[in-house]
Amino acid sequence: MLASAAIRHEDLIACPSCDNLTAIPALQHGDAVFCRHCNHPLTQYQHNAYDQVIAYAVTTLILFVIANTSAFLTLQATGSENLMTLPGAPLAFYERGMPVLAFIVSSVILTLPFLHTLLVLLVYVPLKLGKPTAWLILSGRLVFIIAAWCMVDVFLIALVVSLVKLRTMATITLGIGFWAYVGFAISFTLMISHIDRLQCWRAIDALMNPGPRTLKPPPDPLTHTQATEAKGS
Amino acid sequence: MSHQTAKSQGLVSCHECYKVSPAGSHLCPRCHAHLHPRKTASVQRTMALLITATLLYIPANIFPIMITSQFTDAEPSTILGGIFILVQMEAYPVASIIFIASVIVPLAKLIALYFLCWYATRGSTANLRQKTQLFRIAEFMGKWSMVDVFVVSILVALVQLQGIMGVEPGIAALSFSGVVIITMIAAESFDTRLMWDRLAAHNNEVFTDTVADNTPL
Ligand SMILES: [Zn+2]
Ligand SMILES: [Zn+2]
Repeated sequence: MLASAAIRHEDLIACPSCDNLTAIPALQHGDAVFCRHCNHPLTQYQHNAYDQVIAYAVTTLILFVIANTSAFLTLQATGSENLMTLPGAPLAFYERGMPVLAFIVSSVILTLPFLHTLLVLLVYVPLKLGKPTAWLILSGRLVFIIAAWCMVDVFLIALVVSLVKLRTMATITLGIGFWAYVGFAISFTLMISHIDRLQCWRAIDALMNPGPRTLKPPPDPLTHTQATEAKGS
Repeated sequence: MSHQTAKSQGLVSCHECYKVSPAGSHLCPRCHAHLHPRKTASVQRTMALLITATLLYIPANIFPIMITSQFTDAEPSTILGGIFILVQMEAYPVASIIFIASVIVPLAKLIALYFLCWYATRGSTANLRQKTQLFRIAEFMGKWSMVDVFVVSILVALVQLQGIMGVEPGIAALSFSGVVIITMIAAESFDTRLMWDRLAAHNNEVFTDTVADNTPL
């Protein structure tokens, strides 16, 4: 099938898991393509992705600032109390002579998610406005490299576990920062779920190399059937 | 079912942006990433990282992950000890979360990656779909093992009441996060396409060719 002249080189992508070639022409909203050979999810096209990603990214950044600057958790027992802030969690390791651990924890729960969200804006705002920028390609690469090292969802579960562990020992008050973090983690996860690597890179490519290639002809019936086939298997 | 790989068609795929370029290209024309037909020295790197992680797994389980003190007595607890305390508190859902994230996931991930390294170099080429799926699950689950380390960081920052109660981190927190981070890098270094290459070589009966291509550049 691939030998057919109707299949354009730009439409081909190789499965990252098994190297199998799949032709993915212009897709419709909601179309998902899986590798026919190993079922690796290759892409899920979302029509209004730019608006949603930008909206979630802005929300994520605002909630991130609130979560870091407001009271996070307060512990009370036998008349004394201790207030903890969110940066206080990795800082606690640093103060006890474990700087490596402080660096790892602060990176995966704070620095990298924050950087990821900023970079997402640096990519999606130019894409939305249709204005190529000098940093677009570098930001695009960093977005996907950093994504694997963001653990905001894991930290959210750790918060729940900690509250359960402490429930018999002390009284815990949840501060504004805590709820901001919950919102941040949800918004961040929703943002990630709307980012599709193939769709993002094709858009960056079209913006950086404007030319006849960006004018998409109507999908060829043969290649389109192939993409639809791939969906089912 | 025909398996037309980028490699068999004289193409190399960019692992960052998915663009395919003619074999022999060094830089991706779309995202400027370095192109490699297969990840460099994949099995050797993965194995080296797996062995490091396995060694770190021992102190991670022997030494305390945190030390809880109430008034004058200090009580160190290991990862398994912490789970036992949660069971005694009858906090079963949370106990199972920690048990799965801290015990099952890292062990299963280590074992799965050792097996996959074996299958990428020798062993059977059957059920590759399931093996690839196994890799994706192992890759996805890895970061969840950090739960226990995060719990320690929260407790150390929060439970600090002078002379009444306090929590201090144990050395196992460092070794255990080492296990998690290193196995994540190991998964990143592993190339599942090596297993599929062996299947293709098997089918074409050109063993020597493909095995030679899989050796480090
Ligand atoms: Zn595949
Ligand atoms: Zn590329």
